[in-house]
Amino acid sequence: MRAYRLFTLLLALLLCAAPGLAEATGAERGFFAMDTYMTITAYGEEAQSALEAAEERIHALEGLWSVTDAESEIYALNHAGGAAVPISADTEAILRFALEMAERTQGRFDPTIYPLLTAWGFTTGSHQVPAPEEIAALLPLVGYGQIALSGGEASLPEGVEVDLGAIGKGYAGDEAVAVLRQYGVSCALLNLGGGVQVIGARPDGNPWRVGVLMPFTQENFCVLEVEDCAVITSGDYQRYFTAEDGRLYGHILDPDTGYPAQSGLTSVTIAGAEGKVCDALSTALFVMGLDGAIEHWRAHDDFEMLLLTDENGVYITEGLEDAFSLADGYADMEVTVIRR
Amino acid sequence: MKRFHAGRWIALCAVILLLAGAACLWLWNAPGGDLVEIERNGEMLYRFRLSDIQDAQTIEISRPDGSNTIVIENGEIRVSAADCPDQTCVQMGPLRSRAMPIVCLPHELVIRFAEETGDGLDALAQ
Repeated sequence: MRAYRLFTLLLALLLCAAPGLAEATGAERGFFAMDTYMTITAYGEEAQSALEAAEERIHALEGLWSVTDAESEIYALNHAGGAAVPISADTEAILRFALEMAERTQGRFDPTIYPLLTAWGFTTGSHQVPAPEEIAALLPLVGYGQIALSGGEASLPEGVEVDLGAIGKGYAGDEAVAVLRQYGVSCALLNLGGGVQVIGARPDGNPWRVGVLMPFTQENFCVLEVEDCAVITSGDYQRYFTAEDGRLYGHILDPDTGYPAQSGLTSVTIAGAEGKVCDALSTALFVMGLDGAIEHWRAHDDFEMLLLTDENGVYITEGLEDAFSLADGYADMEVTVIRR
Repeated sequence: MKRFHAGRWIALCAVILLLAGAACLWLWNAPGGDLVEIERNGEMLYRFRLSDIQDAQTIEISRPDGSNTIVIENGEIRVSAADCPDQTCVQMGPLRSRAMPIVCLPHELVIRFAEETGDGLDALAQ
């Protein structure tokens, strides 16, 4: 009889494990959107339909916000010659959010930087160092206060251009997360061109392991173990060029000077509940530099950050202390924990 | 009779345990982490295990909008040449991690691992 009990126990264990195995089956989708490659992995009974709906939502937002697509609302706004153009609720919402973040960061994130980005060639690939006179002439076109929004319409003074590149992917990620949740997905990983957002924990119950790239390498220098949050990184290594003077010019411009921000940071990673906030802050805090970033973190409680300086110093805020670990090969990096 | 039944149960349990052990061993030793997929414009072109490629191979993916040359050698895969303007796919070097696929944005080419790789990373913030 003892053997019979053992057999029954084994059978029961197998039956208990089976639903767990079934739950772990997920679906994955990779696609090109917003000038990058995105992958979404979701787990749940309706994972496949959820992925299709999330991808559709991202493509729809891209269609509204693309700065180069002549059919988009942002393109229409930028080429209206100062006239007011009708905009959808989605475009109005992201423009309002952009203004809110520009205000919050005292313009370190500015959605009207596009004419300067174009002068530097970061929008066309024809990189060049503009003449100081050209930068001086373009600087008056930069300033988020020039965006007028009212009742389903937006307008810009002639020459001013809006570019949502610094927040669009994070915003779209939040929208995709909302779609996945509507389909009952409680476990997902979204990698939107290097901006990562996760729902819940991994299917095995452990936190998601998100590496952060060591600039100018193909390796991660650390790992963040996270659940239910966004992890978004900005750095000048992402797009840069070396000019004839031998200097490296990065794509994150300081809206005050019109020149690439040289704040002593090489990468800024923001972790928080909302992808759009993380996306905007990763750019703004890169421009602010170490001291400005710390000051901003102490004044707000909706994000944590991981900063890498150009001397390879690592600074993490206390909320990431338990989630953070250095990767193999980087164990000797000096890590400073910033406290409130 | 009772004794005989007990023996049968013991034998059955032993068989189940042996089978479970064999399955675990098979899963443990099964090749993993080197299953590669190559996609162009959303179309899956190749899916193979790096460990199955013994001799060096070159794959040319040529389309009207551009071409990429992919080299597989010494258990690694990389883009050796491309006529895209940014050359990011070439500069990425060999495919190392599931968290970091080789992507050629202008040609919509993706080379990626289809299974988890040894680094234990789910994604790379970059």
